[in-house]
Amino acid sequence: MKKRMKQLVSILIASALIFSLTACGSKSESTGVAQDNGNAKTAEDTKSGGGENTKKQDLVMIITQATDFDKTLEEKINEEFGEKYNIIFKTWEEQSVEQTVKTAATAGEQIDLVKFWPMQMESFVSANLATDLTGYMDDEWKDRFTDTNILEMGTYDGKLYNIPYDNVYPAIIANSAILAEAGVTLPESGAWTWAEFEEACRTIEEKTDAFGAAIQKEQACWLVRNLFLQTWGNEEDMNAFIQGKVSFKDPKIVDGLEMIKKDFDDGMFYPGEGGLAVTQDQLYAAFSQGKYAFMFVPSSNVVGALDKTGITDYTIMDYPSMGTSENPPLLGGCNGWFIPKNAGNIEGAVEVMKFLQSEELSNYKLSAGKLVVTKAGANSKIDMTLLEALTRNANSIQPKEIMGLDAELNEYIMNLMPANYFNNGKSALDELDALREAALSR
Amino acid sequence: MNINMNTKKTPSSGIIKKQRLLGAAFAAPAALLVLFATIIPVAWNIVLSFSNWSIIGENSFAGLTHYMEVFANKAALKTVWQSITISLVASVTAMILGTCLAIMIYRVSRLEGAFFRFLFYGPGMLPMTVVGLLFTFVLATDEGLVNNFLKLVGLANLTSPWLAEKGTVLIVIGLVQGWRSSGTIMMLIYTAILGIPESLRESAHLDGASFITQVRRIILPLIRSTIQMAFSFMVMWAFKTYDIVWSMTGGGPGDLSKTTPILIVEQAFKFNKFGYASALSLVYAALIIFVIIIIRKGLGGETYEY
Repeated sequence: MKKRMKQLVSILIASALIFSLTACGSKSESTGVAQDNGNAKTAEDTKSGGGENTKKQDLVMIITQATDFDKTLEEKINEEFGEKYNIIFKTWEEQSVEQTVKTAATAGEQIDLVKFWPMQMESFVSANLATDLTGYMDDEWKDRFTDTNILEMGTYDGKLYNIPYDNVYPAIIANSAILAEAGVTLPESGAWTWAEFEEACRTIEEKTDAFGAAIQKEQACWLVRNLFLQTWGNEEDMNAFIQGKVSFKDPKIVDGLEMIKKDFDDGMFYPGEGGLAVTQDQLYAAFSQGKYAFMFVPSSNVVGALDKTGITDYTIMDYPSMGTSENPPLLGGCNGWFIPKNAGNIEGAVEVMKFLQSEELSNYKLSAGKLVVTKAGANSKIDMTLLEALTRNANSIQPKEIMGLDAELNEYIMNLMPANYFNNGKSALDELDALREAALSR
Repeated sequence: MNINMNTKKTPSSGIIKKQRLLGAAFAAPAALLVLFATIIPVAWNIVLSFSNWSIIGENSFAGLTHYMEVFANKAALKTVWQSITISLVASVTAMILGTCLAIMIYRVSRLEGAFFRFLFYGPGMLPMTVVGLLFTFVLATDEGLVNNFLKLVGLANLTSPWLAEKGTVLIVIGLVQGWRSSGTIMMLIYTAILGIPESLRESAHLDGASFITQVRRIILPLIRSTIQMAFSFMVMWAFKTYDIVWSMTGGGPGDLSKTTPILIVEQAFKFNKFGYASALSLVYAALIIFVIIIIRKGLGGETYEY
């Protein structure tokens, strides 16, 4: 009897384990539904108080970070759509967003709206992982844009895959107190040449305790990208390079890279050694302590950077020209949103995008220093002097870069340059050329 | 010659059959888990390594193309070399530190030992990403603890951008990972030391052997098989490193500290090259197995009974 009881208990335990395994499998199946045709997955949601079961569609978005500005945006989205959708925000992280979306796509998990750069959609478009939004861009929505040409940035083979919302390009904040101490004056109009910028940095280092400049590690590629656009001196050569017809070992590129390398070797960039590994926190902390004079920062982050560093005596200066042209093209583009193929609620995502580009929200974003591409109305609380400083180079933005040729080339330039050139010399250029040739052969 | 075979079932054969069924019932959940969590993914990985597949779209046969790409790609081989460097430094650090700590804890009283065990095992309880982030602050060039300490004690010439320089970044990551894992190694070694009969040490002590001699002549030889096992585990963990490298450097600056696991994830989920990533992961797995076999052969490991 005792033995039988033991056997019974054993079988019960084994059955429980099997059921628990089966339950795990079925749960992941039920939460992993994502359909191409936009039929939405639904989530059970019990209304508080009434006890009545209603079905709300999930709306999963990776568009916000843990900042005060984005938290306010989340609140506004919740206020507007909370009744209609079961809204889920996942934190957007620059380094992992692409992997997160693609992993979710592989697993069939629902993601409806993602913040991504319109000009870097190649890897999603080529893998058929982005939803064609051409049909959703009606006249009413188009009318909200200050210039509809901006939509070209997110257009691939005539199809609109990414909706731009903020202009972003490199800005430089100069600490005026350090400049005054060093006796350095900024040009009244136009930009310095790179040589003049280097000279100013040297003067600052000689006459003060501060370094010349600092750049966040994620933005170090700006130095190379602007070189790739500005070194040619004429549009024809620049376009040939952008189309991949010119080698990365062209003397103009090599000379420019050597120039940048020398600046880092000479300790022009904070903190001297290790100037390519500076995090945003370190960048802000050192600027607020007056450890360097020029901070490279995305135009969309200028207001946030000033808030966090507490610097009030500053000047927004133009990016120094790395070529001979007086009005050099400038890297830049837009932040944007796209709807992945594994979306389950396309309609909801489109509604949110339209809401975020409404006059009210555009106004709010503009007042926070975001250079929105939509009409914002006249009530903005924005500091007009700052707005003017931030937008005066917007017309110089060159929307197409060589990175657009291929996702791997894009990754190499964005994340491995200029560090790989500094560490590996010309073999980095060989690797870039191999990627360029591979892209052209496709 | 006729042989009379007794084919009649004995009562015990029924019991054995029942026991087998019962054993199978107990093993089934675990077998299912292994099947779905290990065997099927590995098999699918092998299939993918011979295919062209990019999440959405047709899956076509690629033959050995991806394997040939792995061996022809200098960037991939560079990450393998960097992974080997990090895992070598991490494994050696963890083994030396873990073994020394285990012996020292064995030497002190039980109460003190319990305190130090908790203290030294602490890092092992922290997630790798937390350890990684912690050390990015400690090793920061300008405001980091290490460089500021060196400046404070008059060794400013030894300061360095630890996580940004070609000669140091891999070693530093290896050291941090080794330190983090040393607590686990310590516990494994300490448990093995506790299994050695006290009488062996006592008789050595009576013969005039110092503690160092006892460690060298008695403890270390008797726990050799445990050291071998711990070393194998450590190498395996260190080779698979992704999170600590990602949280400390993101594989940079440039690709200075990019390890093969990072490259595999990047190739699969950034460039949609699942076939190539699968081939690379299988080659990498083969390398790890090869290294572990060498370690097991190299360290030998006799089993003593006492």
